[in-house]
Amino acid sequence: MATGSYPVAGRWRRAMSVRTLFLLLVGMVGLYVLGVSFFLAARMHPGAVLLRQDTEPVVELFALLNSRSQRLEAEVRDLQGLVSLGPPGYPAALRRLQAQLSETPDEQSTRAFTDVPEAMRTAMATADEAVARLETSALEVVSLLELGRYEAAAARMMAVNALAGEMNRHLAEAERRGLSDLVRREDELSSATGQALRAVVVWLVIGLFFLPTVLFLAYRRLGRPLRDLEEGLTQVAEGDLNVQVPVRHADEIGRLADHFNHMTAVLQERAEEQGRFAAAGELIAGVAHEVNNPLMAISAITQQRLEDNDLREDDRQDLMQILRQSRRAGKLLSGLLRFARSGSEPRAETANIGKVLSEAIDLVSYQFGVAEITLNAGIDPKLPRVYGDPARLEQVFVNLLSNAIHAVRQVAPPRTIAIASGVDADGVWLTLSDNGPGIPTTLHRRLFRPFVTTKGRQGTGLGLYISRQILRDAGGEIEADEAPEGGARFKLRLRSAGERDWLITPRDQVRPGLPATLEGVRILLVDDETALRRPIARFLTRRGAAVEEAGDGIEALERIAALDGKFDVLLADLRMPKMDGVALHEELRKRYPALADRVVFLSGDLSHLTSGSRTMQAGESTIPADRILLKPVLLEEVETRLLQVVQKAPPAA
Amino acid sequence: MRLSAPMVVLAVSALVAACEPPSGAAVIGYAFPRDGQYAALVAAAALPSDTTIGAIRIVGDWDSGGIESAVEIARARRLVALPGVMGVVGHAGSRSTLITAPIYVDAGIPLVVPTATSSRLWELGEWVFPMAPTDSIEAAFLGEAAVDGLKASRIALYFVNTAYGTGIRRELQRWLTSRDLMLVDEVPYVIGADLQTLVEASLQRSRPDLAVLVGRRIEVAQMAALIFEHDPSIRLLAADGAYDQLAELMLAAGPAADSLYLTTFWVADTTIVVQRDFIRRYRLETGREPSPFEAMRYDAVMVLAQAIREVGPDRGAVRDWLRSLGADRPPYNGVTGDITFRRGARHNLMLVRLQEGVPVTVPEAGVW
Repeated sequence: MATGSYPVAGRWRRAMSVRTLFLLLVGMVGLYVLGVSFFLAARMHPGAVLLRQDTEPVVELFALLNSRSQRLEAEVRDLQGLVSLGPPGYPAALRRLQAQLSETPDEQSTRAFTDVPEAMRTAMATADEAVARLETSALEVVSLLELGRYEAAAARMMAVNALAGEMNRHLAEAERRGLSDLVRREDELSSATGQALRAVVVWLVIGLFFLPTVLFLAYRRLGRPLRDLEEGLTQVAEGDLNVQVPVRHADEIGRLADHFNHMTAVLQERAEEQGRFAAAGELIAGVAHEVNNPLMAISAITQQRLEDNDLREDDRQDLMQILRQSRRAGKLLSGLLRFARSGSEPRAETANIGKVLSEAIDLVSYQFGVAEITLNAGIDPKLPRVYGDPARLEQVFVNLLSNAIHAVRQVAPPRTIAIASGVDADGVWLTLSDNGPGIPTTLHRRLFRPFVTTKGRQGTGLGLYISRQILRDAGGEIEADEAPEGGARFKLRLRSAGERDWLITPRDQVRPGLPATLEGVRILLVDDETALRRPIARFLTRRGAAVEEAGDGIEALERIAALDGKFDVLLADLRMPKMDGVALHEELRKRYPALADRVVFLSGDLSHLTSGSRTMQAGESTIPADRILLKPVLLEEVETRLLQVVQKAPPAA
Repeated sequence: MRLSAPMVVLAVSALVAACEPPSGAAVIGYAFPRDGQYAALVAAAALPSDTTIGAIRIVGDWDSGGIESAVEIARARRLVALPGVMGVVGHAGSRSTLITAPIYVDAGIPLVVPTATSSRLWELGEWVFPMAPTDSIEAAFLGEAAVDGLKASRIALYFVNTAYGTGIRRELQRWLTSRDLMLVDEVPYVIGADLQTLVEASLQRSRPDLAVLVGRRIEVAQMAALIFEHDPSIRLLAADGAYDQLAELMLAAGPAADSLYLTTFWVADTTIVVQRDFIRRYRLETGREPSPFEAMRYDAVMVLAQAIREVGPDRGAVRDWLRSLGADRPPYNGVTGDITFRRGARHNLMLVRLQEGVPVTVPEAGVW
């Protein structure tokens, strides 16, 4: 296990795949078992079979011959008795004896001769012949008795007895040979069995010798790489993305390890990239306040100058241009802040899709002029709200617009990006098409997968993947096809949230019938930036308000205390030294609760405002988002918001 | 002079080698006792040389020790040990063949059995080729001849107590049982027994009208003579073993010879070219008339020689060639007829009587 770059490419040892190795090991074990079994069978089976094959007919033949000889001996004894009795003879007994002696011997005996071992065959055959001779001789005696030749019969009986003895000798000899042969075969089998068992022991020892080798091989090829991977995954789970596992072989696990390394490298790269984005966001947020304040000051001073009726027309036009440009710069800065912080903020449930799209266009609009791109944005102003977080939806549109800009840059002007929108039964739809080179056919199926990009090193390959995830989270969908103009076209579908979201200006919210000027309104203006505070104060004073100024929260509390809290409304910056706006609001809640509800805040840092949320938290106090004005803001908007607060609140004591 | 076995082998080799003696020749073993040698001599003379496979040499092995088991086994061992032996013709009888066949089977040597009739021969494996009808076929033939042809109702059986005799007895009993008949008497006989007493007591005991005689020619002749002497009206029906050297048979049987019905596999027919050539050559070589046994042995040697000639000196190929006769290739046209080694194939079986020493086919007994 190692952290950091691990040498992989070019150092893989070529090796058979794990599957092949596994099959090989199983095959080897199988062959080994089969081999031992086969060896045992080959060494012992033939001997056993042979012993059985040779023993069965021998035993069978012995049984036949013994049965036949015993029967014959009994018949000979009977015959001897008849011969001894002499005349007049016993015809019935003789007929019985004659029939017995003429009986067909068991027909198996003939075949058995062919089955017995050759060494015994002669002895068996000779014994059989002796039996046959005895049978015939006994029949001769029977015949002589039948013919009444008792003396001849008695004489012949001696020969019969001699033949019986001869038969017994031959049978004994056959039996001796048979037993000898069986014992020899048994010894051979026993010897073969012993040899086979010894050989099996040798085989087992060889098997035991190879077992560690097999286990080592299995560990080396499977255990160790898997352990490396497990450790690597553990490190990743603990947050260490800089981990690389060794790629030991070019097999499945080797490829897995390589993919793992590639994955961690990508994750590491993404993490670093994300970190840079986060840092950039923080930087932007930090700078925004510092930039917004001068922008607000410029805007305020410019507006104040524009109030001068003696102003020359040329000067007025110049000041108007300054005002517009400062407003544009402020808007752009707000957009950047919002976009940079979109991932870390709580999500809203619905969004004004037209507004979101407009803001996304604003973010990338500077590229249109540079790249000579014409944007045809057909946004229906009466689109209903849709489900989804505005900031995340804005991220989708920025991604799609960035892709489109990148695409159309690859073709010669005229370059066009077109946006269309509408509502149907399924919800809100939008299309974004361009006249760029289009999506390569090979990418169509993989377009929304991670790390698929046509931008090479310039792209992460995550934009469309994340966009689809955002849309799906919102219950929507995105798909791509070819635009009629020949470029790419993305179709988005979002679930309608039902309500119409008209753009309502602060001025619209001023209730008719109530005071519409700041005449006589006591205002405490709290801001540490004198360059900003002074022009605002002058503007409000010119509008008839009685304006007191304070440089921070502490000073503001002193003024309030000095006047016993008799202010109609407070206009306070959120970020100030000593005591910021939030702390001031907290103190007001404690000391002058009524006044706490009549504070309008100014902020140059969007980070204080939770996008989409109606409130912001600061300690225990809650500041409604609509009470915060983002710098730079037109002084008329400040006036309007102050009027709203004044109208809403009961008069100051 | 009694020759030792090796000497006999050498002597016969020399005799036969006089025709085709080259070394490395394919050898056909010939396993018959001394009185069966003639067919080998005639066959040796008939075998032409073959330039493709070299000469075919016939090596006979006969011992004056008869056909006892030990002698036959020793003979078989010697023949198996012969260099270049491609096949063996033999042995003389069913018993000797049954006892020795395993030796050839173990050695992988084709054994062509010309005259033995035991049904057991067909159970000995792929290396054994019986030529003669089995005892079951012959027993059925004898039964039909006795019952249907000769109209016998009381049949007694006199047989040699060997595998040949007991085989015929067993099958004849079966056949008669199938016809609801049975033998009135069965008398086994071995060499040395008092045949006269046995026959006399049997005839007194059973009073048959037909006697079936199973044995070799001398044994059958003696049985026939004894029975005829006791009661000339008893018909005498002999199995195939008797039809060998008719002159000796007639001499031993005496007046009974004319009453004797003989079963045979072959009767010489000089109108057939193959037979005429064989008979001429046989007379020329031996000065005798060929018996059916000699004709069968001659055919056995010649069919084996034909196999070797066609497939070369390869025992397995010779075995396959023999087995293919009548299946993949036509039967071998031998002196005794078409030869195949397929069980159940049609065999020549005839019943003849001797008229002044000349065999005459008995039409009423039919021809198989």
